[in-house]
Amino acid sequence: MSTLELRPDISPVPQVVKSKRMPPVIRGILWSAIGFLVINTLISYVLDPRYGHPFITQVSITFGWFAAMVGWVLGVGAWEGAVLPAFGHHGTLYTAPGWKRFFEYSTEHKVIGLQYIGSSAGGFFIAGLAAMLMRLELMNNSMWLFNYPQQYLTTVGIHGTIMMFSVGTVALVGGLGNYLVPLMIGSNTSAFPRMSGISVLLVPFGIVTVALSPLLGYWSTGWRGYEPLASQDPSGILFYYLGVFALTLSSLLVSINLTATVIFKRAPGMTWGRLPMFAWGITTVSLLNIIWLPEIQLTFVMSLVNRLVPLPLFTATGSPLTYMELFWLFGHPEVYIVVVPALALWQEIIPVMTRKPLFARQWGVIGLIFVMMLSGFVWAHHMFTNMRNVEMMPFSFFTEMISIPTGFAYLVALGTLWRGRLKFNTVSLLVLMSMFNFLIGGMTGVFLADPIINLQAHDTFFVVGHFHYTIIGGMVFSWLAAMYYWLPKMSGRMYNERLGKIGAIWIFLAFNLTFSQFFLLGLHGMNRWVSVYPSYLQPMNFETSIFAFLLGLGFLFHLVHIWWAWRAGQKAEGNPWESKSVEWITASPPAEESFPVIPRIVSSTYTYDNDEPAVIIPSDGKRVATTS
Amino acid sequence: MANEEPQEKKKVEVDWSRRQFLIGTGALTVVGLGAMFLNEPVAAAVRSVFGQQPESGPITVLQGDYFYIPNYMTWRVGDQISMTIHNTSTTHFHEMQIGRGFNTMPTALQTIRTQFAEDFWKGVPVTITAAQGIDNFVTNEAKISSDVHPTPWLLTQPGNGGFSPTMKPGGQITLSFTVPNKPGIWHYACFVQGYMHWLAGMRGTINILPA
Ligand code: HEM
Ligand SMILES: [Cu+2]
Ligand SMILES: [Cu+2]
Repeated sequence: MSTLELRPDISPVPQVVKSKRMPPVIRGILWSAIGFLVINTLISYVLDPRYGHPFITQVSITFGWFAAMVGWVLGVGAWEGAVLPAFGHHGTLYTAPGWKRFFEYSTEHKVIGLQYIGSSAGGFFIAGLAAMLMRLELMNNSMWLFNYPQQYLTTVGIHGTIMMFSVGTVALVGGLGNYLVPLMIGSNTSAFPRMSGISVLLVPFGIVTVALSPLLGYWSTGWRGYEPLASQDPSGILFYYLGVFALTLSSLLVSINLTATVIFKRAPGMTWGRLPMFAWGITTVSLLNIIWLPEIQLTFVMSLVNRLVPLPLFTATGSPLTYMELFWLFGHPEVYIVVVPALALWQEIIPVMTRKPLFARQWGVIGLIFVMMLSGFVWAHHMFTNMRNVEMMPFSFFTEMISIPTGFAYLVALGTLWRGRLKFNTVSLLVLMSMFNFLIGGMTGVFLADPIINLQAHDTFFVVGHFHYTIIGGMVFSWLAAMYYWLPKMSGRMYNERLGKIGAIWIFLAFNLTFSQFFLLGLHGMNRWVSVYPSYLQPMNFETSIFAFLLGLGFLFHLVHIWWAWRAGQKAEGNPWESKSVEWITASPPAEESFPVIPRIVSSTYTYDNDEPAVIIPSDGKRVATTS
Repeated sequence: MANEEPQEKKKVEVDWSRRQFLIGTGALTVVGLGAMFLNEPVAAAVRSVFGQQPESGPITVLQGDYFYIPNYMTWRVGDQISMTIHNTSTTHFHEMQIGRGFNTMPTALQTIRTQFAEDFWKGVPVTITAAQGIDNFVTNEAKISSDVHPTPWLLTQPGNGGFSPTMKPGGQITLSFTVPNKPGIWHYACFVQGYMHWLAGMRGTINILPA
């Protein structure tokens, strides 16, 4: 592609053609349907017909689904944007104006970042609706909302799967990572923009797949797909494997792209020693993703094949443990994939809000890296009930040890807050709340690392309380803080401070009143994965559900507020937080080309003890484009 | 370092229709939600609008985990039926009982339904015309005859529960009979694995029309 012509891509005035085209999303759905019908029919009627000639068989739907995925990706625009150019065809990539850019294939990292954020938010509310249904069912100790226990279990599975693989793993990495990392390191693009444009399309496809899984039958394994239960489950589990495949593939591509971006796309002066904490966080989780996502994808592919052929992979004596090991080898690092970017966000935001240099920066980086490495040594704490006592010791030990590097990250945040004059606004409020919640999540985690307690609390709502404190309390609160913090950058507009604070307090109270009761419920004997439970637990479940609904409404409130601020909020100043970080020297919202001139970084971006700028725009700099 | 490569040759702005986009995605959302939550009412509505032809002659009932295809049939008293029940599951045994009302068993958490109280097949002459991969076949009070050699899986003595052929994964059986004079709504279901298949939704309905 690269030519010696003078930057032919810079055409500030795009040619406007009057003729219209089919909306890319609609074309994607159409191509996807065609792909599915062709391949599914081929398999179920020609290649692998079954007794009674059912149109949809497990095998046909699996291959049909892959065809549908390809059809979707190409139809939305990867055909013109990535495939044709790869074959040397100088195709034209169409773009639409305004908001419509977000609903078509794009190679621009900011558009892609927002597409990721939007998809994650969609997943969050779909899976959140599932959570509301679960809480509704649990208000009574008998089956009153659902007809079959499998319906409850499927709801739990859909909730957990979509939350983990499209929100927890995606919102901060694919979303904020794609948007912010290139901006923070002074680059106009990510390393592999076309691949990135494709990877984001896999997220909505994966979410819809998992959400529609009941069409194929209820499944009962939850988000972990335990074998051999999964091989005994109705076919809905197929859409779990396939949807998760799309979602994990997307995250894997994000990680490859962002790691390469951080390595190769840094502006002059952006040394590793000056790399912003958020970029460090994204780099470390990307490494985790690159190590562990292929491992779990392989495990799920094995389970899928196990079922389709069928093979006896996980049914022999001892094999169920094999699956558990394979799952949790990934499963534990996954929790750090979720939470490390959140820790990094605290460290990014707190120095700005306290006007203090980041405390013990190098310890923060060391903390992130050691968390990343240790997280591969602790998986078996999820399986204490299946182990001999002597085997528990090392896992219990490493699990408790991992709280040390996690503690570094925490202390960096605390040290920066120490004696600082914290600007008290929605953003800093949400960060403080996140720190509080994460502390509770982390401390209950240390309890659970202790086998004696674990054997009592295993499979109860105590565990459910623990991980919701880390994930919602730690990650979702930080995500919200980040959305408010960078809202003026992304939209050029400001949120309403009073509404933001009300919303923050609202979800803080509702969250704590809901999930602190999960601990108590668990200690009183409330099991996970049951829709029918002993009647003495009913009053507490009833009232927990009410707080859960309030929490759901609180999140909706934030969604509406952010939506409103994005479109109609007050115009924001260029750098409302007076941050020294590189992203703030761009326009708000940044133009398609964020840096007309590549900036030069001259010091750490956390030097809030002086007034020297950390970033300069070299007057003799290589001009990348004419200013528009 | 900042080695900017041109991403594409030409960028052309071509608009698309917001209306098409909204109508298309909106319609698909409605279809998706309907398929998820309203399939039963929709099926019932379609049945009541278009009615349903009584089935007769050779018919097939497929068993899966944990469902029947079809899960609704219409028969007519006096018709000759040759019903093949085929278990498509690769992992599970499945049966097919037909009846009304339930026998129950109390447990700590809830009362469990163990089988139908009234057996549709009572006194009905039934011929087994083909069988393969059968685990057991309890005939209860049906008048059974067989074209195939049914031992050792045929259990004709009383005390084994209601009429129920239980197929191994992949197994199938063909039963020939004349629909007896028992019009009304009957149900069919599978109660295997500690009655869990019924709980998991493995049920269907037969509407038997008078002659
Ligand atoms: C409105 C907020 C939420 C509520 C009320 C809620 C409620 C619940 C409940 C009641 C369960 C356990 C059900 C059971 O085991 O019987 C559960 C499981 C789970 N939740 Fe949430 N949840 C919420 C948000 C989230 C978020 C934001 C995430 C992650 C990003 C998440 C991840 C999970 C996971 C991974 C499971 C385990 C699923 C499984 O056992 O397979 N939840 N949730
Ligand atoms: Cu763990
Ligand atoms: Cu069954």
